[in-house]
Amino acid sequence: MSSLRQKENRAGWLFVAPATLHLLLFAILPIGFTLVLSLYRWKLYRPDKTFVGAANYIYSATDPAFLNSIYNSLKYALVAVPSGIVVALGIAILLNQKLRLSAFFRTIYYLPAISSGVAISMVWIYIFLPETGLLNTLLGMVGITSIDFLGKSETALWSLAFMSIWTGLGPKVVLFMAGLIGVPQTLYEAAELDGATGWKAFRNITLPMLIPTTLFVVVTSTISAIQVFTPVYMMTKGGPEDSTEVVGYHIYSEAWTSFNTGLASAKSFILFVLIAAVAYIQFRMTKKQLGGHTVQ
Amino acid sequence: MKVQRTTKFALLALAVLSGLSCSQPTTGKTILRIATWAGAGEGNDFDKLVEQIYRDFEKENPDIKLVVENMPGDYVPKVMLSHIADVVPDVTVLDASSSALFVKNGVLQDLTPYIQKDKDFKADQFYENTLQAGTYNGKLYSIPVDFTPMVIYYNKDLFDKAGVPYPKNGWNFAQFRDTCQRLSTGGKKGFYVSNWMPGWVMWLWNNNGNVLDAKGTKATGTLDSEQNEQTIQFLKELVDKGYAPKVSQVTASGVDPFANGDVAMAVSGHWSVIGYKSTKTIDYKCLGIVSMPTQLPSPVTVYYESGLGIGNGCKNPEAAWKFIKHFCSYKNQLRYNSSGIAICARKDVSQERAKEPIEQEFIDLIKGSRPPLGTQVEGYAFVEQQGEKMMDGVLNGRKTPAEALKEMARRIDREFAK
Repeated sequence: MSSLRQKENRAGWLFVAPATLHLLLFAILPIGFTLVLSLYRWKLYRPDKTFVGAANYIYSATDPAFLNSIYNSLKYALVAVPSGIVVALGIAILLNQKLRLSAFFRTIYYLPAISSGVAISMVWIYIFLPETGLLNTLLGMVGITSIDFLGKSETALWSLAFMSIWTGLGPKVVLFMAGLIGVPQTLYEAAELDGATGWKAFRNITLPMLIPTTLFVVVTSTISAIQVFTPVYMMTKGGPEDSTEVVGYHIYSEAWTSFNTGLASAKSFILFVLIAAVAYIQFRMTKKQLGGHTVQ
Repeated sequence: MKVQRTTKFALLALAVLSGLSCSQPTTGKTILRIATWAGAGEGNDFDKLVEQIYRDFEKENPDIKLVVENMPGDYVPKVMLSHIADVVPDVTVLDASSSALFVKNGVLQDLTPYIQKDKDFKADQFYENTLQAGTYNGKLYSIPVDFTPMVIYYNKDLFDKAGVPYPKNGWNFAQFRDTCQRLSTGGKKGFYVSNWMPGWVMWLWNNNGNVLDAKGTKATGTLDSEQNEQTIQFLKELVDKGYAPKVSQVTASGVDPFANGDVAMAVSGHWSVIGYKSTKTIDYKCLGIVSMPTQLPSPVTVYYESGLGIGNGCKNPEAAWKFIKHFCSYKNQLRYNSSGIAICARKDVSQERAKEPIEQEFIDLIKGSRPPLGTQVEGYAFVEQQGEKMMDGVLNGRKTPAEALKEMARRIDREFAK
């Protein structure tokens, strides 16, 4: 190997070293440590630990509270992800028009992404208040009687999913806008010559060309939806009853209310595998959709 | 053992890192770390008062510097983490509701030797019940600072308007319901039923029920008893019959319905006095307190208490003890309790404060008050979490009290078996 090549190699390693070190310290090692802990029966504050092998995993698989939390997370993701994508795509299309103040609106829609999740949750508690809340005031104007969005088991999870449409808007809109800019204008021009404009052009050109972006957004949104924690912690604490006890909050309670570190680690690992599986399936679908090409 | 060492190392590293990030020049002074569950100071009168007590200590002990570590939210896990990392703060505020966890796991030191050595310190200056909250296996782990029995507050103004006589200690459930009914007039309600378990657990006790068995290890057979079903049904009916607002109605107002003058009675502790004094919606002079309604020969209630303990591994236990004595002294406790936050655990201070309105009534109710189950049961935070869920299910009409209590008992037993 030439000395230049060696130098380049060294420089390359140096460049990736900080990121690799960060990944190793704050991702790989904790994941490995979690896996080890998951094999022990251990109360965090007690010195004695017993190696129990797969017992924590077996217990988790039959734990009604854990299974309910996975079910809640999936329900949440099933509503939050598609609705979030549809709204984000609509806004991206609007912002993509050459309108006055479009830069201002782009900023406005990105604001939730850079705001504190805790602060946002506090604001939404007031928006969701029965009778006096903003949402109920608006509904009252069209004759709909007050709904206790966060206080009823029937509505609490859906309310959080509804809120996530707004909180998760920024990054999705940016991605869709980038995708829209990437659609060659020549395709629209050719379509126009063939008489395809408006909805037809959107259906036959824009949507197919946005598939890679959409699939990427689906994967990342699904992962973050399954991991949702802050609004649950701030707004409902998993209640009323267990209606908003999502898997992230359930694991948190297992670890920090009950201090069952081994069990919480096993549940975390199950969540890790679940998310990896969902991401894998979605990436496989992406590959299929793109005829073997991966999403960039 | 290897796992434990690795965990300790990781936690210690984090603690060191966080310590480095806020390190201060020590100028050769002994640093005394004080852990509290308070949030960032708001600069209100109470904060200023506490701050002054700290500064006075530093003035009297120029060789000691106090470093206050506020841990708002999740105080218990944070202290437990510091325990695992062997960096428990020197002086730790102890909440009776979670004291079993701290005491049974060696977070705090036994204070008995300090008391025995110190001739100035008299344990009998404190109410017997409050010492009980920090005692385990005959050893005392915290010096009580203040406490409060949970009582029924009532608004005399609303009673007068409805022409209802004021309640008396020792009243029973039927009398309470009748009072609620008569007070529910002119848009006002009699009472407010909350899902917050620390605020309703004593209703169970007053109908001869309980949450856990005598050993504190099992809920089934105790929690799902017929008495408890009746008690929860009794509370639910107050809402169903319109004598108490629905939870959603209270949420809608966004404020304490009692403080707002919308309900005539509410369960709370002494801490509410601060809010009731400052609100303009009720007249503080019209405030009365009375015992919990009971089906027993005499009423019982729960008391919540805070105390000060010395962390295990404290390098300057003498300085820590000195601070505890300073904080719990007559002079400082008189200042501290002038805020109205609670009843002082010192009899002399609380007797002095009894000249203030309603203070004597509070003191009268100390006799029938019991420590929370968290003083004996390690996993009590989980029980309280489940209690809230159980009450949600009942008050929202999704479950009958029998179903909800059975489910709660099953979950607690499952948790305790982990």
